[in-house]
Formats: sequence, structure tokens, C-alpha cells
Amino acid sequence: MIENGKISLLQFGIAVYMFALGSTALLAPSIIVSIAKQDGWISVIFCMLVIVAFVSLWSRLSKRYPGQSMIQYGERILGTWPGKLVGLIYIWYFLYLSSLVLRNLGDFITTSVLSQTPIQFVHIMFMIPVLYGAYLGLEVIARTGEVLFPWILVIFSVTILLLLKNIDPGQVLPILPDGLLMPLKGVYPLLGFPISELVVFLLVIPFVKGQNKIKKYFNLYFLLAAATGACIVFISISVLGVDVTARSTFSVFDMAKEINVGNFFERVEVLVGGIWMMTIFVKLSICFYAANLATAQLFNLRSYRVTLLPFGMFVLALSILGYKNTAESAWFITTAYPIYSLFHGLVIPALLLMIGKLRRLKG
Amino acid sequence: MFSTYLKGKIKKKKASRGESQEKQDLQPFKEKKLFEDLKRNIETVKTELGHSNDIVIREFRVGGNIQAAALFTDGLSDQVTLSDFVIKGLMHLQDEALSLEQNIGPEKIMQIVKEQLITFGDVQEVSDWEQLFKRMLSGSSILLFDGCDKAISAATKGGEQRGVTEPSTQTVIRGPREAFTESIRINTSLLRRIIKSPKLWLEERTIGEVTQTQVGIMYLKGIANEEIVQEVRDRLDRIQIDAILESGYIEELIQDEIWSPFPTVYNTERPDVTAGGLLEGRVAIIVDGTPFVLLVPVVLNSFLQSAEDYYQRFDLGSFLRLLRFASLFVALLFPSLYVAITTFHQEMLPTSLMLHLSAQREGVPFPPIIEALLMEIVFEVLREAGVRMPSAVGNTISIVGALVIGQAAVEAGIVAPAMVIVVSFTAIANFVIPAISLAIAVRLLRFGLLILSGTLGMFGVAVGLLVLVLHLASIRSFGIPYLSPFAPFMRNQQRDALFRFPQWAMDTRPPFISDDEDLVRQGNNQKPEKPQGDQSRHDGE
Repeated sequence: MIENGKISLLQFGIAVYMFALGSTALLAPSIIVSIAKQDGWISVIFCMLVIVAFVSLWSRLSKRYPGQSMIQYGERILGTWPGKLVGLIYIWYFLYLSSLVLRNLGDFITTSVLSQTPIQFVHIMFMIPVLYGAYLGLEVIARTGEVLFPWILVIFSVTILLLLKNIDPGQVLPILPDGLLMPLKGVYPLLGFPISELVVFLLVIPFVKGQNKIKKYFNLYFLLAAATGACIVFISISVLGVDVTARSTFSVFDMAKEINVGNFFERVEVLVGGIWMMTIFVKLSICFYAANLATAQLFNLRSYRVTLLPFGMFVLALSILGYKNTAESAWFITTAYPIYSLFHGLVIPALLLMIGKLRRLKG
Repeated sequence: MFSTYLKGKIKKKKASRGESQEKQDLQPFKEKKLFEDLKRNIETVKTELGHSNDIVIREFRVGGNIQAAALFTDGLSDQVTLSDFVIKGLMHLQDEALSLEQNIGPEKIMQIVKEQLITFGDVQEVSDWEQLFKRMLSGSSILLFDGCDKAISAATKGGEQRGVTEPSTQTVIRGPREAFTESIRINTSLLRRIIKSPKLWLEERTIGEVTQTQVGIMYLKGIANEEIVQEVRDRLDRIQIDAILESGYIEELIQDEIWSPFPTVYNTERPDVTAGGLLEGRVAIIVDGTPFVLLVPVVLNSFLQSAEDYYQRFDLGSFLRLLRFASLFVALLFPSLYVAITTFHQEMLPTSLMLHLSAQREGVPFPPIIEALLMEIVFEVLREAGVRMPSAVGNTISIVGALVIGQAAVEAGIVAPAMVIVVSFTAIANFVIPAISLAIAVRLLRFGLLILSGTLGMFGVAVGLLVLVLHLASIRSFGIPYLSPFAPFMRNQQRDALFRFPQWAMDTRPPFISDDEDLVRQGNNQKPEKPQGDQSRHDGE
């Protein structure tokens, strides 16, 4: 085995939760709100239905081939060469996704906190823990997620509590002025970012203890993340208003700027930014780890660690080339990216499942 | 002059490279038997020990014409015991036992001496030199008889030992006042006095080619996880070293994570803490010559617990634990957060405070990061000086320290007063951590985080913390994840982790440490209930 670690269901669930929030909760609210206006939070709730469908597809696939990752059974189902091709497509996808996530973080840090620091340097600094985490393996990443999770919950709930007096539910009205069309349009970017991205867990699932409950935990924590997302969108609309939310790149961060308790506890958005550091870290390390693991499984390497450094440098370079600025990234997320991402999250897994059924292959 | 000295050193080094030869020198008589001739035996002892003056050789006659000798190390053996119970009896042997038989041989005499004459506990026959030296140098007396190639060793251990005193570390307000001493036997007895169970097993080994230090493994059979006990045995048996002077030697040789500031072995000089560990299924490693006993396996959480958490009521215990966790974060992060906020995130401070701080820093020539590093280093120097100072001048150093770092440095405009507050509060918070080994780790890591915060602000601190958490999550102590029971999360173990639940609620032993066959440690319904029936008679009129 390339990876000997085993993670618990809870760790798996937490990893799903943090991955799903990842960089999405930082970037997506303004994107959704610019599409769906004050009904942005309803879009996120619609997403829950999509999530249930996706999870049932993925868990059916992994249940059919227990103990194997997508790369491994992909090769069995499609035959060696087409299988290897699919594996390569996924490795590229995970690396590309890693670079996008890294760039999200870099943009966030350089625009909001360290405005004079070159983005490359921020990226290099952040890749250090990511490389270290990927080097230490899945078990350690999962445990780290477990340690970070309560902090996210605490900071998040405290932020909401402190924002309560700024919440103006009137901002959300009118609800559904043009019927369901607007919120449904808001679902589109979320299909690719982040829902399809969670296909990466098809590589993680074989290492989870308690395989028969995976679907339950996957659904539960994914939906929990969606609920958190809906909550975030709702609050940022009602605190900042539709216009400001749609225009600010990191609306949650701007929302946290509104916190002011007795003119003493104010401008604590840096602490709130800590949440995104944690979720982005978990997302990025799982993604990056998966890219390395997939490579090792595809090419029968003895250890997934050999590719860490080259891939790390590749991701660093790609993160700079990925797009020019946050505006371009928002445009990318709302137009091409969902299709690109759905191809990996939905089309290939569905094809694998169907072809596997037709060929009557089983794990 | 210097060059000749150097040459001598090099020669010595070269000589020591012939490792196998040196090994032989250290154990000249491994497996070699004693001689029959008494004179030759005595001569060998004398030459082997280089005629050391503290080796006492007392020659006398037994049973008329049989020459005998008693050998012991002055200061290690109890001379009164030896003369009263051994030599006196031997000299009078003639009158009692020997009158029955004539021409009795030395073998027979030895038999009689061993079985009838020596009236106390541990008496053994010794036939090879290695055993003889080992026993003699650990306090036993050796009896040699002419014409016999065996010797009797009688445990006459005595001599001066430090008594049981109050512990100087991990002090408590409520709780036992005993601490371990330097003698392994006293230490095991202190544990036996607490746990009077036949399941408390002790295994002993001798480690250290030269020092021949006794090392004991103590555990509760059936509660300790057998795999962990075996792992401890294996790791101890692997040790090949000249000297074990303190349990720290063992700790460094058996720990899981070498490149980590975090301790993966717990050390304590409190018998009650050790007993508590044993009862949770941990294994104690007791080393002769030090009052610090090692406990394995250990998790990060244990370093933040104090024995007193369990002796005081649970509400106070829980509060103190939370306080310690908070102090851990303060000790680790306070200077870095201060530096990060004053350098990068001034907006986080209330305006009036910000103005105050800027006004204070007006004349200070350094950026906050340099100021903080300077003060931290000065404090570390002061602290180290305080530990090594003779106690007579100890007070002086604290006065000088307080004046120099506090008042004078501020008045001279070298540091801002706020920095003094930050550094001193950090130092105090560091002392809240009950285990010194963890406190040291935190001290070291503080500098790393300080530099990160001075260069990258909160982002740097966050990156540093992520690396730290990853590192902590990767460490194991004897196979146990270091962050249990938090990660991997164990729900019912939270009763004795961040909080201390009431005694009746902590009803199972930690499954990640103990043998998980039987984890129940108390009966059902231990929760005290209000007494039934009419209590009005206590209510007064």
C-alpha cells in the first residue's frame, strides 16, 4: 500500500466539511449574490439537492469497488490505456485545483492583509505547511482537520453573535420576486465550485474505517457545509446589503469589519480570516495530497512522496499563471469553470459507473 | 605544551577506536569463574580494583583451619549488619556446627553458612567474577572460602541515602507531600505503598556498561496494554551505552520523535502522579539514581494536567485546566500577536490604546520584533542565571533583573513599557504549564513564531501554527497519537481532557492507553444521591 493510514468517519466528515467550505465560502457569496441578488441564500439551499445526488453517485461508485480508489478502478473499468488517460486527467485536475485554491488564498492575503508583499512569497510560505502535511500523509491531515474544526465553529459562531445587531433582515426582502429562476441561476457556479471538486474524496474513501456509513457522513457533513454557506450568504446580505456583497470580493471578510463591541473589540477581521486559512489549508492539502497519491497509484510508484517537491513547484508556478486578478477569477468561476469541473465530478464518475455495470465488473 | 596535550588526546581517541578491545577491558571477567585458592581470589580482587581504599577485605578463620574472607565496599554496605549477622556467626562456627563432624570441607562449610548461619534475606551463591564485582559494588558483602570456587553474596546494602522529601517540582496545595528519591528501591516501595495490588509488576534490568544502573519497568498487569509493555521492554533492551546518569538518558534513547521539541515521555517525581498513570495503564520506568520517573505512553494533554485537578473539586479542576490551556496559548503566542498587531494590524487595537502604544514607542529605536526578541533573550538569560545562582544571591538577581529589564530599560528608551508587560506576562504564563518538559518546548517555539510574526504578521503566525498542528498531529508516543483524545476525537474521553468531570462520571479508563479488555474502573451509580427519608430533624425548630 502507498498509504497505510486509516481515518475515522468523523475525520472524514470534518475533512468534507472543511473542503466544501474551503475557499468557496470566501469567494462564492459575492458571486452568487451578483447573480441571484437577495435570494442568494436560497441558491445555496437548492444546492443541497444537488449535493445529495452527487454524493449518492460517488458513494455508489466507491461501494461497488471497495478498498480501491478511483484511479485504480478506473483502470480496471476502462482498460489500461484509457484508464491511465483518465488518471492523468484527474491528476491534472487536482493540481490545477490546488493552484486555483492557492491563488485564492494569495489574492485574499495580498489584497486584505499584506498588501505590499509579493503574492509569490505568500504562496511559497503557504505551500510549506501544505507540503509538510502531504508528506506526513492522510492520517495527519485528517487529524489536523479535526483539531482545526472546533476553532472554525467557535470563531464562526462568535462572529455571527457579534454581528447580530448589524443584521437587517429587511435586506433579504423581497424573497423570490421573479420566481425560482434567479436562485436557480445562482446554483450554476456552485456546481463546479465546490460541489464537483469533492470528487477528490473518491481517492480518500478507501482509507476510511467504517465503509458502510460513508454515505451518511458524506451527506451529513456536506449538507452541513451547505447550511453554513447559506448562513454566510444570508448574513452577508443582511449585514452588507445586496449591492456591497455583490461588489466586494471577500464579502465575509468585509462583513467581519462591521464587528464593533463597545468601541473596543473592533476590526477583528484578521481573526475571521483565520477561518479561511484553516479551511483553505485543509482543502489545498487534501487536493495536493490526492494529486500525489493518484500519481503514485497510476504509475505504481513505491511512495507518493517522490512527486511532492516537483508537484509543489508546479502548483506554485501554475498559481501565478492561473488568472490575472480576482475579477478574472470571478468571471471564470461563473462561466467556464463549472463545466470543466462537472466533467470531472459528474461525467467521468457517471461513465465509470455505467461502463462498470455494462461490463458487469465488481470490486 | 599545548601540542603535546593535543597529541595525547589524539592518541587516546585512536586507542578508543579499537572498540572491541575496550569492551573487553570494561568486562574483563565476563563468564570467568572464581579460583579455588583464596589468596589468588583476593589478589585478583585487589588488582582488578586497583587497590582501591574503599574495598575492605577482612580475613578470618572458619571451623578451625579454613581460611575465609569477607569483602565489601566501605560506604555501600552496612558494616553493623555484616559483623553482627555474618562474621560473628562464622567465627563461632567452630563451637556449634563443626563439633559434630570432623574434617569438614570448604564446600560443606559454605552450605552450612548459607543455610544456617546467615540470618537475613537475600543471600546468593556467586561463581563468576562479573557477578561478584557487580554485587560487591552495589553494596553486597562477598564471603570467600579457601578451596572453594564459589562465593556467597549477602545483601548488606546500607550507607547513606537521601530520605523521602517534598517534591520540588509539580507542587500542590492539596495532595500527598512525598517525592521520589535517588534510590530505586525506595521509589518502588513508595509505589507499592499506594497500589497494594498483586497485579503491580516490576521487571528490572541493568543498563549502562560502566555504570550498571538498575532500571525498573513497573506496570499494572491486565490494565496496561501488553503491546505497549513489550514495546517498552524492546526499546530498553536495545540500549547499549556506557552510562545512565539520569532518566533523561533513557528518555532520549527510547522516545518516538527525535526531531521534535515536544516531549513524548512524561517525567515526574511524584509517586501519586506515577500511580495515577499506572492505574490508567501507563508504564513507569524507574531509574536508579534519580528521583524522576518516566511514564509512557503520554499525550499532549497529560502535560497540562496536575495531580491536584483530581484532588480538588471538579469545578475548580476544570477551571484550572482551562486556565492552563489558555496560558499555553499565551505563553506560545502573546509576544508574536503583540508584534503582529503593532507592526501589521494596528487597526485591531482600539484607537485610544493604539495612540498610547505609539506614544510609548516614540523614542524606541527598534522595530517591535527586535524589541521583543531582545527582551525575550534577556529574560531567558535572567531565568537561566536564576536557576544556576547559589541561593544566597538568588534574591539579588531577581531585584537586579526586575530593575534592569523593567524600570531602567524603559527609562533608557530601549524598550516600550508595553513590551515589558508582554514579555513578563508571557514568562509568568509559561510557568503555569505544570510539566517543565512542555514548558521548554513552548519557550523554544515562541522564538520561531516571533520571527514569523515580525516578518509576515498574522499570516506568518497562522502558517507557523499550521505547521505546529501538523507536527503535533503526526507525533506518536509508543503508538498513541499525541493529540488524543482530541484528534482522533474520542467522545467519552472528553470527561477527563479539557475539563475534569466529577469522579463518578469518569467511569472508564482511557481506551487509547489501557488494555481495552475491561475499561470499567468504578461501579455503577457512584453518583452520590441525596439521602432518602425525612430530614426535617436537622432543620431546627
